[in-house]
Amino acid sequence: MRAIVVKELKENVRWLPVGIAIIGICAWNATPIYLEHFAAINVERSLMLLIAFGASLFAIGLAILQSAFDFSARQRGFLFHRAVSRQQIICGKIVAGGLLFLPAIGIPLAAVAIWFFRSGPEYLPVHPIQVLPATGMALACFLFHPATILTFERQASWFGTKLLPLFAICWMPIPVVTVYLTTSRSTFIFATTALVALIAASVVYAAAHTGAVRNWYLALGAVVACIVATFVLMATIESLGWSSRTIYGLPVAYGLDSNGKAWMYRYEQRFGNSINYQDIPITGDQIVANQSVKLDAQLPPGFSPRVMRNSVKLPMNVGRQSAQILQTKRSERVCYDFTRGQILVYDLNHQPRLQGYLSKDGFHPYGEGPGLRFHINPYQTTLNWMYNNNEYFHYFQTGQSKRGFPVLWADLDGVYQLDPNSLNVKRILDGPVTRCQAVTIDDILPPWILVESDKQIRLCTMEAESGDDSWYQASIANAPTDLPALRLKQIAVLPRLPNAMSDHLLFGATQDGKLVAVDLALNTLARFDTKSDSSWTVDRFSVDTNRPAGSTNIASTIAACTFPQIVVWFVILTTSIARIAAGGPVELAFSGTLPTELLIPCLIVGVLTTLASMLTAGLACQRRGFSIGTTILWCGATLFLGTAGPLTVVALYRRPTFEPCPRCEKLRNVEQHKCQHCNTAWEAPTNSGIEIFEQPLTRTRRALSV
Amino acid sequence: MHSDLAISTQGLTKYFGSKAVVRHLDLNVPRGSVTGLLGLNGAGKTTTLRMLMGMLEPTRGASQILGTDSQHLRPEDRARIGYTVEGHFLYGWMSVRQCECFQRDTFPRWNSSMFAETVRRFGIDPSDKTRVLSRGQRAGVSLALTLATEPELLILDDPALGLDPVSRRALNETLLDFCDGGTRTILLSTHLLDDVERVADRIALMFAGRLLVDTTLDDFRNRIAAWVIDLPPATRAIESIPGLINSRPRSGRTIVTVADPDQETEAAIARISRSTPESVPVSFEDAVIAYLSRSRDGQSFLVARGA
Repeated sequence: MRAIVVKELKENVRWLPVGIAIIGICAWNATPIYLEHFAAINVERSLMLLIAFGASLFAIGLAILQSAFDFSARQRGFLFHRAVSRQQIICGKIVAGGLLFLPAIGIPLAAVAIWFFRSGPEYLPVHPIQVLPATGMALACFLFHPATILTFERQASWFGTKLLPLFAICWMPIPVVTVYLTTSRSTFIFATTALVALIAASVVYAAAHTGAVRNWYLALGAVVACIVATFVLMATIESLGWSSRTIYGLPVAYGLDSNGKAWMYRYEQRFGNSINYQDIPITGDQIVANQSVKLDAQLPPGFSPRVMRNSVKLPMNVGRQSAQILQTKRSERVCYDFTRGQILVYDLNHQPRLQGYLSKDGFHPYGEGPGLRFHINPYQTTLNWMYNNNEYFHYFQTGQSKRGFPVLWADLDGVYQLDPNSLNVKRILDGPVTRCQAVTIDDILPPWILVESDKQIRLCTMEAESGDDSWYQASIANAPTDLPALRLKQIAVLPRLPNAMSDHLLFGATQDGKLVAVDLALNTLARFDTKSDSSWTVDRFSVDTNRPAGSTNIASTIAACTFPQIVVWFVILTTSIARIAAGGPVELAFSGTLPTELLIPCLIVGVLTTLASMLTAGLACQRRGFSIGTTILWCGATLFLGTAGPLTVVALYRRPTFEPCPRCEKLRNVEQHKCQHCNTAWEAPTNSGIEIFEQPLTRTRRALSV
Repeated sequence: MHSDLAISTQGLTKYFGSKAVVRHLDLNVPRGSVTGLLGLNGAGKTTTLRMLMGMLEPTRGASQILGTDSQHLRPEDRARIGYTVEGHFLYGWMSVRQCECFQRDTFPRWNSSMFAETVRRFGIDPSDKTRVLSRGQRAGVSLALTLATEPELLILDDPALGLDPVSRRALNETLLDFCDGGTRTILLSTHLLDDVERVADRIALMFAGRLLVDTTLDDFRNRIAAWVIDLPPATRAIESIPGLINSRPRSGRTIVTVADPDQETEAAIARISRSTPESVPVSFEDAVIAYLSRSRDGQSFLVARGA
């Protein structure tokens, strides 16, 4: 194999500068320049996406250059007729591709890392470690290389099925991005490397072997191809505006009316039209009734019928939102939330230089160290998110004068109030905190903060330290320059909702002061109802959060048509199993997997599509001369594979030629040695009397002369 | 399976789409023989060789090469076989010396002196890039790369294509030297009949995907005969001659070439001729061309003319 690797390296090393240029251009476009702080805070994500594009392009291009020429008829004979196996030749090409790919991504990324090292954090909030996600993604994108090699090595008559090995790898960025969004950097690199190695090994194995292994690989490619075709079709319809789709946002508020009926408040957007808000009744069956909850504090006197306006959950930045810009009232500083538990403060008035760090223990000038870092990626929100309808906070939001936003900050240790104007950080609630939630009632009561830990939810009110009860009621006319120092007063401790998946938990308050918690993941609603001053009861309902009837969604119907049924079933099953594994009620595990109004149309279309796919697969089998048993088997497989079923048949088995059998005169498969109808073997063509064959064979070595 | 056969096929058939390009081929190449594989363009020679080398899957039938199924050749089997593809493909970016290194590293046996000698015979500078070589020199490099692996079986696909006379002579000399010991086998696909006559001791002739001749050169010559006859105009009586390969006009008369002539053949010829048939000698080239002159659709020119 060494000779193959060396040959491939010598042959293709000339493309290395092209690869470096492609990936370098991508990296350059993702890299912020000085003063581009907005770009800098998202550099990790943009770098990863652009590098993914460039690396995929180079991996595919390199594989085409390595294989398109060598795998044509004549060159194939020259290359493959050697005392090395076909597997070694394929692996040699892949290894050489990898050896060229590594410097192509490594050099630009190393340059970016060096640039980050020189620029950050003094001039920009960047750090060399931020190239790691892009590196992981680039490594993952190399998988397109063996897939492309396999595509060109595969001898298929139809270009559509020839591309299946490439399609089979298209899903690869999904787990990589998922791992990136859900794990730390070190775990991401480890997991991505393991994932890439695993998939690469399977691709190489499929490339190097024929038969069942490759058949499974091609079947996977057929399934992915159908999914890709579905998305392309959906995107095309969306772009052409044929769909009368109604887009519904997440519920922005929940409430219970005086009759105990649950409502949610969310927006809808007709395709191409403006946003409308609407109140939608929440319907569902009660599944837990009168579960007692004991309070440890008296409810505030004003805890009576109120109208909930909005709620915001902390952290806002779930995932890898790396930072957020906060501008101070004098506009001379910009603060960044940095994913390493630091807040960086820059002076933009004269020269963009780092002034210092805001840490748990206060402000630390640059050069004196970052101070006490937040334990985890600090979560933050500005209060203006909570008060869209409040004039006082609207004043801050519009920023008619240069005014800093009051900021709430949370990490594992507690909740903090950050004042960018005075560069102060103050802990206003001690931990532990797994997440916290801001709930607004109206301008009569101060906003609530719900702090959730592993076992409980603390309900706190937000008060001014000065004792001013009307601090949240200020209007533009009399708004203070700075937000008053706040403190949190705990008024109740609620049990943590059993079996709730906290990432999807939203809280709200009802008109009559009852607390509502909705777990979107489990589609359940819990109503905390006051029985007395010291105890509540909890009722739980299954929630139907689907769209109202009457809306249409062509794209979803298309999805039902083209998605392989096995994928739909897989999604439904895994979702349901995940719910049960998370401790959710079994009776709700299968609810909410499809919008109600689409359930019946999708079911009908899905069944029709499956039947059509089975029919097509059956026809494809018949045209390939399969036995009845095999045909039935493939039709059964199509029940799971959906539209990918007939595509798999076409990909795995070429359509044979049929000729009339001289004995039974029925069409017989030319690939079979005997007629499938009368079991007659093929006979040699009839001699025309001019054939000259030596019988028996003799060794007649004659004297050779030139 | 015959142990004295280097190549054997049984009903080897290949369809491209609905067209059969090789039809039920039963070819036997004895060990130690030099076999010329002849046929027009499109007769199925290259397709047959590609199936033999395991580069193409047959539609039906089987083939063995050095006792191994062609579709399951292992690296050690391939090491015993030399194969030059049509057109003498070489990597243009490589020098001749780099070609040698690449080939040497991928074959267990390597005869450096044979490579050097073959290259020298074609007048090639080993430091030259292959893309600057003439067609004949590329053929020389290609042949040298194949022969230096010391194969037991050599399969050459049209090696003399486009070569000048000097290069052709060098090619033939090299092949003769290669099989001088009588233990090596050569299957040579070519259009050059005089080369076959000089080098080969057997011929296999393919026509429209079918194998019409597979015998020794002498046997082939001995079993072909030709007569010059006078035919009445627009007659189809000539079709009644048993073993008629081909007929062609010459100076107002007709030359008929037949295979395996016997008394019945002579009687049929005498019956349709207006004068006494005149037996004429048939050269190897005439005999082969008689076969190859048949129309590509399987019908003779004679039938087409008569129609």
